[in-house]
Amino acid sequence: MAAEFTLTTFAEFLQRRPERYNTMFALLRRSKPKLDGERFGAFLVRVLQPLVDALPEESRERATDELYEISLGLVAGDFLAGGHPLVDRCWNQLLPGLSPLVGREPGRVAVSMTNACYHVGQTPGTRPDAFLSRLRAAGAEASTVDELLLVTQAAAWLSGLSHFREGVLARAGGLSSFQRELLVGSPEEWDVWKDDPWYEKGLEPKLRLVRQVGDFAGFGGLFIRPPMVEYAGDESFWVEDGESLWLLVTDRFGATFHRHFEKESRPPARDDVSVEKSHVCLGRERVEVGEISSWASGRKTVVCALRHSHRLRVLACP
Amino acid sequence: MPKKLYQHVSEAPTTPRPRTSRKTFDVAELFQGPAHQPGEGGDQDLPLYEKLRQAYFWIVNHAIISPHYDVEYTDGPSKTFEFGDLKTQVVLPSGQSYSSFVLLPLLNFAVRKRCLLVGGPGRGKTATAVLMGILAGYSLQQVRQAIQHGQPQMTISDLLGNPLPADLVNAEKMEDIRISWRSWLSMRVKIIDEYNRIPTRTQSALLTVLADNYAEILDHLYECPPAAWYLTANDDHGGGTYQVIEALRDRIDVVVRALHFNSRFYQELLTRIEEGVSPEEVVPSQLIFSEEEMNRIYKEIQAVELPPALRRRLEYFSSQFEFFEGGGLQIEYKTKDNFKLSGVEKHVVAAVESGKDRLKELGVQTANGLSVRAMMSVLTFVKAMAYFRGDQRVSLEDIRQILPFCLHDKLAPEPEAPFFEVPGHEVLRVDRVSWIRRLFDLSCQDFERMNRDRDDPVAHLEAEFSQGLDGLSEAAVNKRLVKIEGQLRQWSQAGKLYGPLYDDILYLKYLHQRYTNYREWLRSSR
Repeated sequence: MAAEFTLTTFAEFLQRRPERYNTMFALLRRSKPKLDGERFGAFLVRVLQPLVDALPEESRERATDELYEISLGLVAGDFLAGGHPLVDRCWNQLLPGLSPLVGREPGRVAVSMTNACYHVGQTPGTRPDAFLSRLRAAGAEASTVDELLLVTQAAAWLSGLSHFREGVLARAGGLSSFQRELLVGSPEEWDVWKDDPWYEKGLEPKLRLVRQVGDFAGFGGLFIRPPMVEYAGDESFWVEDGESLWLLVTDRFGATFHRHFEKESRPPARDDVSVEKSHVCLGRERVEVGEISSWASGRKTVVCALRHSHRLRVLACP
Repeated sequence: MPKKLYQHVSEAPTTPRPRTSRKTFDVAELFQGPAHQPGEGGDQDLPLYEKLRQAYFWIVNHAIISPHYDVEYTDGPSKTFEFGDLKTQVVLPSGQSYSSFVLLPLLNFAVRKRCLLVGGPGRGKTATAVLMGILAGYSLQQVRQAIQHGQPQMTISDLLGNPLPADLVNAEKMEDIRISWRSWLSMRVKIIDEYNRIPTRTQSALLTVLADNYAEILDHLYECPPAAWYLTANDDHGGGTYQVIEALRDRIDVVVRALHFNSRFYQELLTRIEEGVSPEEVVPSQLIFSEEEMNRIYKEIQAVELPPALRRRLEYFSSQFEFFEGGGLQIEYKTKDNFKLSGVEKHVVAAVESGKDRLKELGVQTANGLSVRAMMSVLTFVKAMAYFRGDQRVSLEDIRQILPFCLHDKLAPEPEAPFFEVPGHEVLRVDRVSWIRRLFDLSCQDFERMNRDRDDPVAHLEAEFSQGLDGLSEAAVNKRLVKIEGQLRQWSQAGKLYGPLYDDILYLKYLHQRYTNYREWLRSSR
């Protein structure tokens, strides 16, 4: 007696156009000889099949085609199925929870979520777990793909991609109070952040050390020698170690460095901040940071480079 | 960061951009990364010639198993090697070179002309044509359905469509009969497979569509949109089931040969068998050309400049072939065409041309001259070639590379010409691409030897005439007439008559007549 088996819809769609899917695989393997058929096959069975089969029926065919192609490229590039933990979690944990929206625009949602996870996972100092949990909670409440993307951007910022702060706050009107709450826990703070990147509800506004950023290249950081700092405008800072130049963007939720090739320095954004050897001073307030070699102040942020440290000190100003 | 991992489309050959310091961050960048949506990556601002090149490279890299780089461009010295007793040369081109089997069909796609793909069975002729259909935005199924397969029983109805049977019975007037036109007529890529297997009568119906872009059944006309045509044949000499009518052959603008399969690519064949590979299934959507893009690309190609100095070389080359001294007594009739129409055997008048160096006279190598249609094809395709390479001006090398494919079936070799008897030249009777390229090289050498770039007496007279006749006094006209006569006198004393001189003489006769008529008018209007 022949063994009974039932084809899932995902498998049926693959079998309807074997030439197409085999050709995609074969052509890609020409340029990526290490593309492993077994690894991709296992991904199809374990991850993609349940993902597609959980989608609304009318969207499965399109989802099969688009998600097969996207995931094939990712596996070939070693971003998926073992190559990049957060991208794996995106396909294993995040996308299945977003079924209604994946069904609506499979390619767009999968690509956007994958790339967002990739950025968060790749950027030093971010908090991937917080990103995923925020996104799963608030993303499930999104009723459109556009709304989901907005939630994702907000979650990425709140999880450490500080350079997206302005962009997210400019679009924050598109988020419901409930979504804001799911993302960060105190919706009213959003309006204050536009003006103060360090605002934290319940904290008294005063000069305070909020963060140490950067590290020696030998310890996995960026700098080969203690860096110097200058103000770059717009609450961002130039950081140089004699070899390379970066732009530092930092706020309450994180700090990101961006490689640059030329700089344009700006005068300090305020003149009431000063330094005395190892201290940053604002009026009567004094915060000790270590022997300062250079410093720069923005409107709400002071960054100090120290003579004997590869780590920059970041202070919040009221 | 790796991009476009799957269905890799070659990046536009970007000129490196200066690195800029950018301080603002677009939050949309969060969604850019290693994952790409199918079809994503088409840059709307990318020049269309770049898109055309991307399509070329995609086909060469993914769809064609063993590309040959026979359209050779150099960028500095190229290494050359010789092999065998016949000293077969192999050039390793220092510039970006191309596979004619992909390039020419693609250029034909861009200029919407008629391309014949010839070669033995199973060499990818139809597959290449199908890819062109997909590039025009049709699905694989649509393209396959639209292919007209030549076969001995093919009727005009099979090709064009049918009158509706009910109307045939009930209609009182011809115009009441509705026609069910075949859908391929409306497509922007038209594929006729094995056109030399179509019966002669049906070929005539095909000719009307191919040449005049409309179809006709029972007094009903169907206007077809501009289209790129691809015809395939196993034998380029019309030796299929039916002889191809000459008018149809003459309409073909460019001929491409499907070259042999390189046995070193067996593994590739094996992969295709084992893995069921079918590249036409997965043409990246960013390579698809919309109708608007096809129109725009054609306009942009038209705008490519052919510099006057190169036009002169083409004129000089073209003038080599039609002249045949034994073709007539009066100078206008001294042509191969006139001779051919007479039906007289060539040896009867062979003695008329005695005294000339038949080895050096390029016209002796061909049995015919160039038709106006052939010249127009050349002009269109050389512009397309320059455009494809991202140039706004045609180069001499563009002409040299394209000419053989446009004239492949237009310039017939004269097998008994002494040129082909020279050791090493025998093979040029067979290899038309090399022969035509050699003809052009020889013509250019002759052009340079005559110093025609700097010393072209006709160019001076032509420039004078192009200023117009308005306001020209009788004295000025007389002066110009004297110049023309003086030039003709000088030539008449110089010696023998060759093709380029023949055209120049006829041109001066034309100028002389225009001035004479103008002078007559001046006198009569006093």
